[in-house]
Amino acid sequence: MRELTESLVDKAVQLGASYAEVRVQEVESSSITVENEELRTFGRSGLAGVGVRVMVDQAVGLTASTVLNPTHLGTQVEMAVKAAKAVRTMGEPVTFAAAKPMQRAVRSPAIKSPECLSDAEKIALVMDANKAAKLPGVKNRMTTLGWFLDRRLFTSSEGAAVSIETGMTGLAHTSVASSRGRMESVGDSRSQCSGFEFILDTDWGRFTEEISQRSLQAAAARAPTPGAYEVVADADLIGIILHEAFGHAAEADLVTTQESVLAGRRGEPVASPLVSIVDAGVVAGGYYLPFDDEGVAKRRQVIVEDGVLQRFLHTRETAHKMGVPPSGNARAQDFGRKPIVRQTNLFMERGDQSLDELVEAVDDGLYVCGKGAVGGEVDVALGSFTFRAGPSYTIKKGELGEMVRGVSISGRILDTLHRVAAVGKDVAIRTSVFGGCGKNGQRVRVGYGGPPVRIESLLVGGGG
Amino acid sequence: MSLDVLALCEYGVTVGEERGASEVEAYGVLDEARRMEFTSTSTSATAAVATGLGIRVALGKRLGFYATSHLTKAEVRTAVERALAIAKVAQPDPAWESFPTTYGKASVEGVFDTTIPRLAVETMAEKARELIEGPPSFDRRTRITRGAITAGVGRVAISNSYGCALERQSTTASASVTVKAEAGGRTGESSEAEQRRGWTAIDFAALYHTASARAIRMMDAKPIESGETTIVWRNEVFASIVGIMLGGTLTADAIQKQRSPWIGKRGEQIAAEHLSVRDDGVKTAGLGTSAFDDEGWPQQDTPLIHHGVLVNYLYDHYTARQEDRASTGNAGRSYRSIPTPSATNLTLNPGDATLEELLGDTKRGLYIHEVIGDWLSNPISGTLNATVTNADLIEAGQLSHAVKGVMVSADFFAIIKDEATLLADDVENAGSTYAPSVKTPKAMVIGR
Repeated sequence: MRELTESLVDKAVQLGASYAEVRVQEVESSSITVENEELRTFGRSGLAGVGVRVMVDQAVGLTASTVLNPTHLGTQVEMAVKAAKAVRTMGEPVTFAAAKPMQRAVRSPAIKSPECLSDAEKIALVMDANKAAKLPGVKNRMTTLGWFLDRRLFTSSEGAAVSIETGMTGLAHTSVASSRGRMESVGDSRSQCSGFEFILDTDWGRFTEEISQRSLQAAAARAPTPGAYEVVADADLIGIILHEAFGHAAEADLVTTQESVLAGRRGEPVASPLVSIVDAGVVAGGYYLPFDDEGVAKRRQVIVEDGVLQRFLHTRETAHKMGVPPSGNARAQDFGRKPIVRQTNLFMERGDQSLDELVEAVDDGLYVCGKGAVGGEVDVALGSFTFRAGPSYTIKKGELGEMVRGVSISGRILDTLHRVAAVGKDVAIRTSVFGGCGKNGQRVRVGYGGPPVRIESLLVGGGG
Repeated sequence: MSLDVLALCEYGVTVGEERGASEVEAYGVLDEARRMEFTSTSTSATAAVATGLGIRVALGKRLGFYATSHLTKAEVRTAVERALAIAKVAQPDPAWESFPTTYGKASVEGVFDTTIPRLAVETMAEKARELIEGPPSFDRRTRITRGAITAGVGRVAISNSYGCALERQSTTASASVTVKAEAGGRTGESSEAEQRRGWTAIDFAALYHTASARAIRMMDAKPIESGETTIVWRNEVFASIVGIMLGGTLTADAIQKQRSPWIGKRGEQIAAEHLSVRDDGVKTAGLGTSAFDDEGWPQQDTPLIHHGVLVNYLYDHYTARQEDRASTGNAGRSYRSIPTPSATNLTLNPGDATLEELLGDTKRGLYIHEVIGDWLSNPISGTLNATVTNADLIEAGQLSHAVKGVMVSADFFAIIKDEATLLADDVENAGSTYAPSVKTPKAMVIGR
């Protein structure tokens, strides 16, 4: 494979590229889905392809193909050069910030391979987890076991050669319950960048049964009255808030175009002094990203320290524009897409309060929970974000009250982080084998998390 | 590029039969796409080729599936063996009957634009330049912050061990822009997008004109107080909502597996009499239009809610056989997944009012142009939530000022049941879902 990538890089240089990189990727994915104790699907898939990015006269052209034929790929390199030439007078000339060409081969930690269980044993494991969720009133139970091995090789005309092998596995479950004619769906998942030891060491029956119980309670619960509330966001949810409410705005491609509300605010307070935010490539519970898709090492970086914005997340292109070193945040969905600025594992650092202390301080508010949360979306220019939490609880005079369902939350990025009034001490960081974060039509896996926090005011929807 | 995907599908079927499968189906794709991505500071162009083949095998009632992106005969043989290995350990599906034993094609128009396969990257670059340079020429306070143009050709081949084989090809083109307006410390932003089957069907100038005009208006946006109010939903926004709230739950799969609120409601009045929803798989130039679905069944125009009465669900071959019916031609899939019932061109039929009439008859309300997070709504409970990023306050039938930073929350099931919900005549699409602008009398707006 190295011979092929080197020949493609050489060809691009011969055709006039001042820089060329080749990304080769192979992914083997598998999933088993059981629905209402019937095997619904057991599928496997293999994806392999080559992506080439070239720079000609400071313009960028890309090409990608799943046809792994050297002659065809040579033609694709010609296409990339042609594409770069077609756009060379558009926009500003592109320059990459200097990065040390790395030569490394790394892999995520794994003790047991997926083959430690036979296919029949894997089906039985999913079936057992699905059975455990069977409770009266639960109409539908769907359980999926997923795992993959993703191998990426990055080579460039600067001499970089970085290979990363990431293995990941996880289990997702959704229960749909009905109560007095109203249906409610609650889903959750747990994943880890590891071998199958994570699957073997987790009590999945307990996990799915709890989701069913929650779906039953949620179906019978009322929706909160829409309005502005003081909230305690649990550790599961704070990661989503942070990812949407802050992380995207810290991505430098949105800063250099002046789209982000954080543009021009480096060195300024953007959050309560209680808030410190970190982006790190390798962290317990998160996704495994020791190098980005430009071959740049991703280290732990403090983005916000004691409420003050310290730095943004960068590709080599945005780093050059802002005159800083690249941060290792260039990520592409796959070999076929252009690396763009993305978060890796973005999380809030711990504070000093217990969950009880956070709740006790709220007179009339909500304890907003992540279990069953669907996700979120942000408009970085307006500074608005929104997400749907899982079934949550009212807080009355410092005590948890009834469950409420259908909780959607909306806020303004800067307002929300300034309104963090207290930070908990128990940090949880998550990632997922089942999905990721979308941006510019590309989906990548991320890690997210933090401690529970108390926020003075958030808009809560939930009518209907 | 030249690659006989159908021949590889037929080869996969033959190999599967030789290796002892009682039934085999192969589904292959070849996509060629070009993409221009640009921001106010940089532009890049991509040319991509993507191939893939999914093999389904049956050993009696045991099923296995394997998909690969690598289309060579050797890889197809490996794929068949891996699918068979899965089938051998899978539990039998007692409901399994067979793959479709016949294929068929509907007559469709407007799904292939001969311009697109010949489209030069330089032509796309020129259009990108037009989008970049357009806003400042429209109004010097505006500039583009980002955008994209795509054009692609997709080919699908499918065959199975009943001697069936079909091929189809289609094209898509899209363009999107985000425009920022800035003056005197005030800023406004707006995004517009179009997705069509044909390259010339995209109105590039209209995209940046609309986005620029709205971005300028948004510079003076104000928050509004919380409360219950009338909403006029722009057609593209409501189309997206219809897709989210009905697209998945009206499938026979969701009904049979007890995860739909519409279980047992066939024949019941679930919406106001003037509301009709159908899935028009043969709509001219529809983004979900194909001559046949992803199992080789002819696509069709299927009424789902007719004058408020739930009359049908969306079926693929498997779910149709569970109820002794014929498929409605709604098998949808990628090569990496097995087919499931999926909407093609889900369509809320238009009414006969104009958008101007809907707005003009509104004493006080919100005209919503753009939202984020509507996909976070819950189609099972009917709870609709979205954050409004671009809207106008309507007062005495006139747009009084722009509004931003509010949430809107409503019960979608109540909206479609309400006789006071009014439909305009201006159908537009969000992806492959089509709807007119809609006026709904009651929704909760949560402001600052």
